[in-house]
Amino acid sequence: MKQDIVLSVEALTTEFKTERGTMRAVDAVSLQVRRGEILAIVGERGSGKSVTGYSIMGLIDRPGAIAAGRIMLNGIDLRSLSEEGMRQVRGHRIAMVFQDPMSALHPMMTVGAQMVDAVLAHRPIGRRRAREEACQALARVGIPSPQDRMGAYPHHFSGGMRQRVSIAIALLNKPEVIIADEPTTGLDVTIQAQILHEIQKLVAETGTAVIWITHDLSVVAGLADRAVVMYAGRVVEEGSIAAVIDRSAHPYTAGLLAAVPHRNRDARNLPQIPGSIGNAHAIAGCRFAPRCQFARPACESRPALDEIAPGHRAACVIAGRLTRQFAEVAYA
Amino acid sequence: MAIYALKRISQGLVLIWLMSLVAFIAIYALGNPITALVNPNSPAEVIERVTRELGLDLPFHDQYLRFISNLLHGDFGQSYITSQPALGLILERFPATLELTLAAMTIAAAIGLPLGLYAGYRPRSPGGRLVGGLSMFLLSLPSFWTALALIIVFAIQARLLPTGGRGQVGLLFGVPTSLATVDGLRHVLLPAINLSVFPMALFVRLTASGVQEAMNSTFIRFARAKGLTVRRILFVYVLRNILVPVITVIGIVFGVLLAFAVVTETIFSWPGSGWLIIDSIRSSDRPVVIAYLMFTVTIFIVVNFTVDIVCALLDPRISLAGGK
Amino acid sequence: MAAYLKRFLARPVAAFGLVVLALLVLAAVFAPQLAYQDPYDLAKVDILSSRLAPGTPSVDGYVHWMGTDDQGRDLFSAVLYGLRVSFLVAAIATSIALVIGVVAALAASYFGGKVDATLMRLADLQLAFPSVLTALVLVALLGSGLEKVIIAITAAQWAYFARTLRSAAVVERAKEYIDAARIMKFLSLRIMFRHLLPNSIAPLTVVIVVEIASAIALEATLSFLGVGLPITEPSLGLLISNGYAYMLAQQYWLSVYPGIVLLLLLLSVNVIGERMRQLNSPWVEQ
Repeated sequence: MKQDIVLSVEALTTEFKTERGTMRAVDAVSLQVRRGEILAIVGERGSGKSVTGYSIMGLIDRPGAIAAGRIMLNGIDLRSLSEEGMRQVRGHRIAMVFQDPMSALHPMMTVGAQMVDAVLAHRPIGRRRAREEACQALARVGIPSPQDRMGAYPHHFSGGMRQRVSIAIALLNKPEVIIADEPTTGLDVTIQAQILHEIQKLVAETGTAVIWITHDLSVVAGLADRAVVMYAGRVVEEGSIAAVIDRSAHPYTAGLLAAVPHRNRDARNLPQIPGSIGNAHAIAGCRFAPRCQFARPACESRPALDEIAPGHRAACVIAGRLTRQFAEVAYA
Repeated sequence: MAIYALKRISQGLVLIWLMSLVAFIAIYALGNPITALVNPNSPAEVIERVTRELGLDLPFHDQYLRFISNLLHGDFGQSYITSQPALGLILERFPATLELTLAAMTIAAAIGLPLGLYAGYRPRSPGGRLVGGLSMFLLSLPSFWTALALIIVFAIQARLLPTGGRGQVGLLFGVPTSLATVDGLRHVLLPAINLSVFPMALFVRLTASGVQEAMNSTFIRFARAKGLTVRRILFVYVLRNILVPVITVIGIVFGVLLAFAVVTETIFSWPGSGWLIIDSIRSSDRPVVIAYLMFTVTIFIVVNFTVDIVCALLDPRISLAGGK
Repeated sequence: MAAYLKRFLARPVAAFGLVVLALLVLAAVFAPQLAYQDPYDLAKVDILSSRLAPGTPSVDGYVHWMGTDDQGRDLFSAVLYGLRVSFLVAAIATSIALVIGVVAALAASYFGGKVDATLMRLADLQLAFPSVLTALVLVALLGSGLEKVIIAITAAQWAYFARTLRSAAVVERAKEYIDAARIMKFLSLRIMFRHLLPNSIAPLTVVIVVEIASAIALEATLSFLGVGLPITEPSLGLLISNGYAYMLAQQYWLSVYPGIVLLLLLLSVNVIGERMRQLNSPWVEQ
């Protein structure tokens, strides 16, 4: 059954003008999310995954700007909206959960006030009803005695609770898409698991589409339906989570997976991807080539994102011919 | 709350005590202590009598104890010039300084804060740039320079306002002040404007940078991600965030104005304690200088203390009782 | 260095400020050559030519293009020499304050603990008072005169240097290369001055420039109030003060010209300092 595509990003390019030149943090990135689907965007620092999220929300400020592409939300190109139009979309049709709830929530306002703000910004339903909805949202994310908690300040909550509050805020106006930017990074593993579980439950209940941005592939292995792997501003692989994890087609993805401590592994040295991202953004050809074991002359021109299996694409000249074990050995 | 207040009070007392040490050393250790307290031109037996009276022939620590006990009684010695009690002279003229300072603070805040908000929110607009440039310009100028400029333009050329002096005193809410009469307001306008230049520029820069910093912060991004209107973000979220630093600065500036008032008062012949101090310095009237010093320090400390308490009340993160 | 200069000059205002300052410095350095008469040389000063308006020729045909002051001195010459005094006093006071501040900051950041706490508490105490007040009080207690003014300005400034450098130095102190140096038993002094100092000096350069302007303004203020430099060393502040009385008699040039020169001096230094501050903060869009 073909599900509706809720959000479609087409050839998005976001650039930052600095004194040293223009940097393309996001370079012709395309992705789609369907109703009730969880899409993971995976990448390390500098991959452009967060910038992609902010670009979709229209929160890119100077010296950055979206240079090209379309962002289609149920048929409307978000880039064509005025600032006021975009403001109405934010927090209403697309909501965002930030990485660090302590810095995302205003330290000097009560949680209740901040939630009511989020509601009243889009739906003038009156303060009392807004407070009721906020209370219900808190209850839904599993915060005990929500009535009392409404009057509390952010620093009165633990890290995991704060993140639940952020998620509750995101859900308040029943958005079509939620973009979660590393929402569980820095939280205890057990809390992480709880929050992942909550998200899955909520998605199943409401049919909201979720874009989950993370650097940790293992976190999304059990959570996401599809994954997009980014490196240095470009999509290097995308497909169903099973395809990306079990049948990784790009050396970078394989490297990421090889570096994950496996439960049933013998105690061997953990393989690493050599080098660092360095100046990859300046490379015109394949940006991963400097760190890639399989680099060859063909990599000097930008590899196209080819389909190697139905719904599974990778941007690499040797895509599809890489086996997991081979990658493990290569990177060991 | 009580613990915090007590801590701050005790810190303040330590500071005042330190100042008294400095003052003591200044009178008794620098130069000839006799001449610091008695007019050196007095006849010999007067000097001798005063020396014994003031216990200057006693060992140092005894002198210090006397000094402290005098201070606690409000006795800072007598001015050479008028032979009146030093502290009394200062207290007499302090209300005028207070008037001037309050007027200047009001002008500075009323103009500086909104301008700063605007400049911080739209730093690249022509208005924002103008405000930024102007504030930097004004901060560079010494206050005597701006005073002269104001006098030239408004008092001499345009003959709109008087060149100096304090106006008529009237009653405002039962308090005698020259701000209550039109004549008084005419007289206070130029010196207040002059005194307000420095704090105004400071407010503008501070609010502008505070707003800019806030706009780049995560919680403002989050507020925008929630789809809040710009007005709400600016006036509720951003403002609340810069409230604490702004109030702190207001407190500090108040103290600063009490000192900068010295220059303004002198040029505008405003009969406040600042003018008194310049005269006293010029005529080496040490008791008055010392009294002024102690007085000003105490005011600083009281103001800073109040500011700290107000900030603690405003910011829920500062825990006062020490426990959650 | 060349690259820095290039970036610095990218803003026209900053470039203009640099040019103005350079001109003023040159004027001060070459004052004896540029000035018509040495204002200290009382023999040449003729009381009869006092308060001549700008553009009036004097008895020997020289056109006083800034007029003369109330003593009959050519105002242009007086201003040139006044510039000298302003620069000198500011430079000396700032240098001494810098040395004190640097030593205090290095000691505080290197030794940490009680040393740090005491020194910084002292600095904070100093910073709590506005520089005008500190300078005034010191002048009141010590008397006026060149050395006292320098001491007063130094006292008002050292704390700012100390605090700024200490913040940067503390960060450097925590880095591993300092630990490495200590393990290698380098002398503390050597570590402080050859390792800690050069790596934390960047923010201080901006502060130095700003404080020079501050010193100039402070000295001018003190001299204007009559508690600064003596009449024998006319600074711009003193010239302005002397000329103030004649303002009401429409003889504005006595105060205005020195005032404008002072303004240009302060503005140019502050503009330069501001530009340096901008360059030091790379994350702020230029």
